[in-house]
Amino acid sequence: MTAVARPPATGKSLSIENVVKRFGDFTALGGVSLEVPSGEFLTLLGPSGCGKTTLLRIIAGLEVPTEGRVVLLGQDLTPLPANRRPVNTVFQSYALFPHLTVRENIAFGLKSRRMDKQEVERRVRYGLEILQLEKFAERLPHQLSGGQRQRVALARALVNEPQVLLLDEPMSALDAKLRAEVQVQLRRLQQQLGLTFILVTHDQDEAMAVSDRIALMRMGHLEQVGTPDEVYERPRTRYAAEFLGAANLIKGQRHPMGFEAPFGKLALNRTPPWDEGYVAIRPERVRLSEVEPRQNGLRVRVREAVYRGAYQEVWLEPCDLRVRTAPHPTLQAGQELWAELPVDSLVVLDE
Amino acid sequence: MRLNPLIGITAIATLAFLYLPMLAVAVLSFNKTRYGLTWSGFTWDWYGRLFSNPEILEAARNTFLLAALSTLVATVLGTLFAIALERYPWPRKSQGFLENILYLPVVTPDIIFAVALVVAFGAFRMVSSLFEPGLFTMILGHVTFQIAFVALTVRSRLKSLGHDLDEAARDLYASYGYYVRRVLLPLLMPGIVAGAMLAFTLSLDDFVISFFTAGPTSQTLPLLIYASVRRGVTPEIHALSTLIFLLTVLLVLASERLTRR
Repeated sequence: MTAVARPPATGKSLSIENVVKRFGDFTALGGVSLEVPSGEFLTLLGPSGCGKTTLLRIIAGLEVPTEGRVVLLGQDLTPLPANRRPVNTVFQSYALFPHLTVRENIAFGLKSRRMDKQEVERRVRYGLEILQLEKFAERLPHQLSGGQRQRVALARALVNEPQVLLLDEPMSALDAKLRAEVQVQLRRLQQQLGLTFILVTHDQDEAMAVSDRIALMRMGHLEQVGTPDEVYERPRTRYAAEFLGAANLIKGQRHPMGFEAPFGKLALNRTPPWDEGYVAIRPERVRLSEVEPRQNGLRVRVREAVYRGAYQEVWLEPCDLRVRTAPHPTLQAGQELWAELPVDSLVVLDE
Repeated sequence: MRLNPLIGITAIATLAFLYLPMLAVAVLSFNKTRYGLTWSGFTWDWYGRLFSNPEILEAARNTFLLAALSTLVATVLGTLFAIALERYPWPRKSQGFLENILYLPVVTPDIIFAVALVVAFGAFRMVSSLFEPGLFTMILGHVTFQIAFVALTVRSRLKSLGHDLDEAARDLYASYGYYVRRVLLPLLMPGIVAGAMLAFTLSLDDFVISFFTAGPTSQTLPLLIYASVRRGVTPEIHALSTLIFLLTVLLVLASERLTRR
């Protein structure tokens, strides 16, 4: 296979420096700074309206920041219009040119730069090959399925050898099964090419599946940036804990030896920075047993147990905990048992 | 619910009401007698005479020249106007104003426009003899009412395209010119052609504006028909009317097909 991608440059590739974007009175981005190393798969994750797409569009040059800079490999991109930036975008709607065939769509970014004919042909062939589109080369976009269109959009962006590939919710139009498949392919493609990918999504599963790092956004700010397991296992805030997966949030007071919840005292491995606040624990981290655990054990009663096939979901009283465990056929509502909240699994939230 | 057969009958009666007069004209254009409404045999004669009558040929030439030139100008201006209206970042208020003003020529009675043109050309004549009544003033007159129709058709096409493709083209290194040539115009083409056909038809059939702006040497077919009818309706006029009607129908059908795509 002919390789188009260059080896990743070392060190930092893209830096977003204190970017602010206001639309009239509305502040879409309130000073975002972020470093993205070359070859990283970064995901901007957040609900709609959190500013993730605006940030992506600012990197693409489709939106002008009110303040701040976008610097790529030492070069300030901010004054450059979209058509002069070495970045390409896969749009949410794919935005394929409906009057051009798959081949012509893929060649568009090469021809618009008046690239040499043979080089255009070589790269188009490469794009068709890497995304398995050879069979569809002469078709028009409306003759393709959603998944095929998405591959054309990817190929059309990738053949330009962008320094950074921007993906704006590219999977939102695909059905769940295909989406899972495409996520794996996308991750593989990124690693194979060694390119920097920035993906925008509101789907936390997708973010976890593909990313090197996740930048969780909230109301125009970065809430937490880290690897998927950092953000999942060590959320810093209630928002982060609740946005990624399910979490039990326990409100209580700081106590000399740990934490005092309404249902009892819990030991923590870190002293909370507040007098009153929250600790979090993931449902799959709570352990259920017949015997009293050595630490952080609670006597609980099963309020409801729902069989979900691969796992079982259990709600406990009186502490109102949600637990996810391996299927446990004997577990029934009303049953009394012990729940352990392991110290290492209790996360102290900053806010 | 059973549909009342009266509804169907009403529809057919309405169609008959609309098209019977035209059908009568078409039938009479094949009638052998010159005068009267009695049928006395089939003939192509009147069509033959049509094409050997220098006055009619001259009028036909004028009509098509006028329609072609005015359509050309109106199509270019109307398309540019539609693009500017739809794509230029107008403040919300001026956009609404421009939209309304675009519709105005469509609903204003022709006669008002015609009178306004007469006044305007009269004033311009003091500056240049170009504005003497004739083909040039007729072209200007026709362009004024054609632009709105072209702009409206092109604009509805533009609206359906959205902004995605324009951003995708920019993202893919296209200059504005490259985008217009390779993306915007090819995609707008059905709308532009449909608009042009509509404009052509309107020019072909126009009487009022032509009547007020024509000069002695720029007689068009509708003007000729009007003048002839005052002298008495002849089968030649029937033949001519039938031809113009057929041409109009063809153009409208073609334009319909293009906009539907």
